[in-house]
Amino acid sequence: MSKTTIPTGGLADDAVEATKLDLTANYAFTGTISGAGGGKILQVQNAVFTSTVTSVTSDSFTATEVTDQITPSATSSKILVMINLSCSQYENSGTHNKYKAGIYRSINGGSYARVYAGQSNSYGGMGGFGSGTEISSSWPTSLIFTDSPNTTSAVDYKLYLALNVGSAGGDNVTTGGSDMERAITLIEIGA
Amino acid sequence: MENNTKACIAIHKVKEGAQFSFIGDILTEADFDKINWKTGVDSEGASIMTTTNPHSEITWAKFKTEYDKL
Repeated sequence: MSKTTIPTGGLADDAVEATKLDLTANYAFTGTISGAGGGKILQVQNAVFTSTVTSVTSDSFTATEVTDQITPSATSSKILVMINLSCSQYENSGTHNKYKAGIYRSINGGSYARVYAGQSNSYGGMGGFGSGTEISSSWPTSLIFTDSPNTTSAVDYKLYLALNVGSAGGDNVTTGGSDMERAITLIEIGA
Repeated sequence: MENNTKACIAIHKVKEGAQFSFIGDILTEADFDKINWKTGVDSEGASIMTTTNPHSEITWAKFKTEYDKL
């Protein structure tokens, strides 16, 4: 007669040694693992933009086309936000190319509020050119932060840009060349 | 020079310091009418925008004249 079950009480705590349970072997789980603790990736949203870009000449933060939405499955979840692009700037006749960047958030269709970066200092750019210089530049721009939106409603994250005119920052800042991809990735991490 | 940058320069030649944003290029009057013009700043430091042009001196005709010179 073959044995198909062993009562729990029939196994000593140290009955299965590491030499019998091969920790280097591959096991194919077909069920669901629960109670595995925190840090689980629950979902990933991402968007890549090509073609039309946003041009900004404002010295205060202005919305761009680089945006994506995620709906957290729990209020305790954290959202890892990653935005990557190459911003372009042009100054027709000046001394600097400088710009500001920040991430804004809208919950459940509400108004946008700044959640990361966006201080008064430049996020990128350079200065020190002689007066009246024509300057064209491109800046690798990466914004990464972890948010705790504390909601299960839809959350929109959007890149905002501005000229740093306080530093004579240029005629415009754009979300890049029209043939340059721009990416935003949102990852929900379980508590 | 990309067309979007040409558009920014052309508007600034008509009125230096005008603040605005747009998506894509400004090649037609319909594109021009979609420009977002800054009218203020909200409590989050973000631009308050409107597509109603508050600068009477910046017209499609004047913009096009400057744009075509570039």
